[in-house]
Amino acid sequence: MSDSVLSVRDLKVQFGVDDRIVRAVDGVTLEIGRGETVGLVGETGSGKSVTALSILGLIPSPPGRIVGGQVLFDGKNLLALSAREMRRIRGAGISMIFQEPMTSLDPSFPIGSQLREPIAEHLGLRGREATRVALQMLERVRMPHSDRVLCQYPFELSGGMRQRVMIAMAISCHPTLLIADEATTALDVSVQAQVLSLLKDLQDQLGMSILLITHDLGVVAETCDRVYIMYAGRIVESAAVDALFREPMHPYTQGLLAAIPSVRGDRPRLEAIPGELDAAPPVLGECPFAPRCPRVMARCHTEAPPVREVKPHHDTACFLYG
Amino acid sequence: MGRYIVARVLLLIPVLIGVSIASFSLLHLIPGDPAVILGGSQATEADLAGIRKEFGLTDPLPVQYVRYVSQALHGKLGISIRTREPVADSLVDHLAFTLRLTMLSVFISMVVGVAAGVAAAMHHNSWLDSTLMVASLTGISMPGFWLGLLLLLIFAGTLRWLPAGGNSGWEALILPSVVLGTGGAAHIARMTRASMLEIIRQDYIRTLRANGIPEFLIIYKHALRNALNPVLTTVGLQFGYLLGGAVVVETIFSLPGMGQLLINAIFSRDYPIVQSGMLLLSVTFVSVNLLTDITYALVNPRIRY
Amino acid sequence: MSASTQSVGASVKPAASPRRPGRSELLRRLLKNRGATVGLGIISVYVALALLSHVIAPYSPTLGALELRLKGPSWGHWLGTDELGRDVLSRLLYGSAISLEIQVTAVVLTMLVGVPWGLLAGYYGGWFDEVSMRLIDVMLAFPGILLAIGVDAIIGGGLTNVIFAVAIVSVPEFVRLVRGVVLGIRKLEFVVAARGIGESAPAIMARYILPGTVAPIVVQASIRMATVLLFASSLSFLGLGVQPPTPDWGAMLSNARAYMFLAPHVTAAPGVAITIVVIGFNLLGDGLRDVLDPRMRGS
Repeated sequence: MSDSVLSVRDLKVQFGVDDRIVRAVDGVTLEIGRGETVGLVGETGSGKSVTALSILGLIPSPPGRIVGGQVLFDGKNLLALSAREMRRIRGAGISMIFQEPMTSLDPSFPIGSQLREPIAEHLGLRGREATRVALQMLERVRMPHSDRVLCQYPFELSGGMRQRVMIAMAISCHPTLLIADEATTALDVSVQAQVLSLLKDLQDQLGMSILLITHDLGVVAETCDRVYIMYAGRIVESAAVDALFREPMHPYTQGLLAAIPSVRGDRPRLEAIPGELDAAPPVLGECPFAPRCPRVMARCHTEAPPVREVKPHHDTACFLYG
Repeated sequence: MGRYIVARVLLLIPVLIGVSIASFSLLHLIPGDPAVILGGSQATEADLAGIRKEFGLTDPLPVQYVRYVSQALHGKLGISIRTREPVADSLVDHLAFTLRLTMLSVFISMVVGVAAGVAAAMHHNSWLDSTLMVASLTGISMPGFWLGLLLLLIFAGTLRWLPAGGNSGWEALILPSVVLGTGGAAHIARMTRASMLEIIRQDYIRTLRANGIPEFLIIYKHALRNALNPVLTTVGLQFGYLLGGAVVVETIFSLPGMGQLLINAIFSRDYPIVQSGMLLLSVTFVSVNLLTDITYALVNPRIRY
Repeated sequence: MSASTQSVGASVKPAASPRRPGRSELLRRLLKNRGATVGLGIISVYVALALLSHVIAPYSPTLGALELRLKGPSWGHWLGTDELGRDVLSRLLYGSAISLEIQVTAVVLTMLVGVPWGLLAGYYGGWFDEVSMRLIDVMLAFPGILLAIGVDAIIGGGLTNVIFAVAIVSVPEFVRLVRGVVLGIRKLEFVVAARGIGESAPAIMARYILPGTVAPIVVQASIRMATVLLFASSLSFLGLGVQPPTPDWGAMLSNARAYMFLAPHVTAAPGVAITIVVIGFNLLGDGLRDVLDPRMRGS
């Protein structure tokens, strides 16, 4: 793998709820290369957001706890950094944008002021210098009337515009990696397309890597180079995007692809994956997908399949392949 | 913004009319002939006739009301039954004193209350939080006049640090404003704490953290700013609450404020004072509320739309 | 974790009438809340003492032995005696009965007036609502205690009038509260649907709207009990309320004032009593609010 920007190794995150422990992330390993767009796909409860938040150390600490693994960035294990060192990376080395633009900006401060904060914090610029950079960033994200927006309050902007502001804040300090956690889920489809294309352009301009977290395979198909599929806190498949769509290996992936309605109208019936990802922790020593898997074997109930490279650069965790 | 102010002021007018009607009616709601009330039990028939003519008591009520209002607007707030002198000056002096006391108390309660509320929220579920919350609970539950008595007992009685009351210098304001401020601070501390706890959970706090903003900026610039919004909306109410409390507490410390004036007037049945006193107090309260609302709208542009 | 993400094939939640947990469930949750339990405990003791005061008070509250004036706490008189030689403890106990009577009567009166008023104003709206709100605004233009003093000045002192004064002062907030809740519920889909079917207004109010008002009303009632006690004792303290020799707590403090430096114990007892009872009702109110609707941010 060329030039790895971020390397997550065997990450384990638990949430203690009353007396029960939920293993939200159960041994996740992934890599992101320079300039790559990597997708992390899974349904609600699969642990993808928790993974992203753990990278930046944003897991609320009761009730969540990182109990194992490493997150390597720029030669350092982020999980071992002090609070101050971690703060320097957030917003500058790695940035994150979130799902809900409507509530993700402080309603009491104008946009300009909020943009200037990370610029002041990480780049050390103040006053007019900072404002200039803020304006530049707004233009980079193609914000109409950017000079007016600087003085406006979040409530005066639409959801799409607020998301652009978030992106502007995120890129203002030239991060190496941008994590987008369901960043387009709450937007209209047309706005979604605009934001995705904006992200791609920014990536080209700034040479940054993107970790795109989503449940939407369509988004993945359009924007990602590689993709990881997550289920119940574990990676079940990872491949280049073409390879995944052409030849999905894991039964869960196959189920996901089969569930997509086809525009060509050649699929008369939507196929759903039977059952539900429930909150009960998967039994250790069993494949987490076994209860729902259409191709389950006896072995799947007695051992947990490790992630293995089955084809060049195409890994999966399934006993069907040995 | 201008439109907002105008709208609020217009809303005020019916209230002011209502308030003036209420205080005007005071004299007429009291059981008994208004002339006898004004003249006292010693008045002869001739005296009573004279009073009726002087105060226009034979005119229909609406006419009397209009006369009352126009006189009030000209600063003529009635004549004391007891002293036979105009009450306006005395009322204004006493009101000024009470206002000073109330303002000081509001200030104390906001400063102490916000500080305590933030401290409690930031150390949520610690011993500090529990202690502060128990203290605030006690603070809002203690009768103000009792706290006043206790402090008087301690500071003026046992320790002899402060005067037991009487003069109107600034040192006389200390004890009463502490008394009032305690109750107010307790109330504000509870509100601030609840508000902060809620704000900390908001999405935009997470965004700020994700951008690497230092924690103290997040708390004291962003969280506090937003948490204070609901607290600020109640400054007007706080003022009213403390204004009422001041009236009670003044009687304990024998201070020359509205409290003394009003209560004495009620007992000596000097109703013109009671009427105009109530009128002034509520007009003050209503005006302060208006100012608070306007200030809040200035600070919070969202409200204006 | 971050806000809910949609899973593949998410379902649409139907707009439903609010599910109300059963009564035993609520009681259980309330008792788990420490504050509420303490509050309930305090109130229970208070009510018990008030109801049994005639039986358990060791002395008469009104007859005093002058030679025993202003004595401190002793075995014979646990809380000492006041300026007329009366036993403070007995007066305190009888006073609790009076306080309870004032509180319950005033709050019940307030609710009898305030709840229907708020309900009608909120449901029908129109000129009735407008006029009501202006009237409420005028009443609220006088700070609470001042309004009570004013009303009391008009109707005179004495126990009954204190109850009326305090009840009148409490009405505006109840009306506003109920009206606000009604306005909120009225817009919900199931109410609109009921009106569409043609259900009569009283039926709608009784079946759909009233149940939704119960929780805020109960919380407010508990807190009002506290406020009423504070107001009533303030009025009595000022001499505007209960007349001597009736052993009202506020009046006791007023009497004690003259002898404050000589006999501080007489000042302590009624004040502590008032504070504890008010704490009890506040705790209960807080606990009820937490349990009944944690989303309820009352004004």
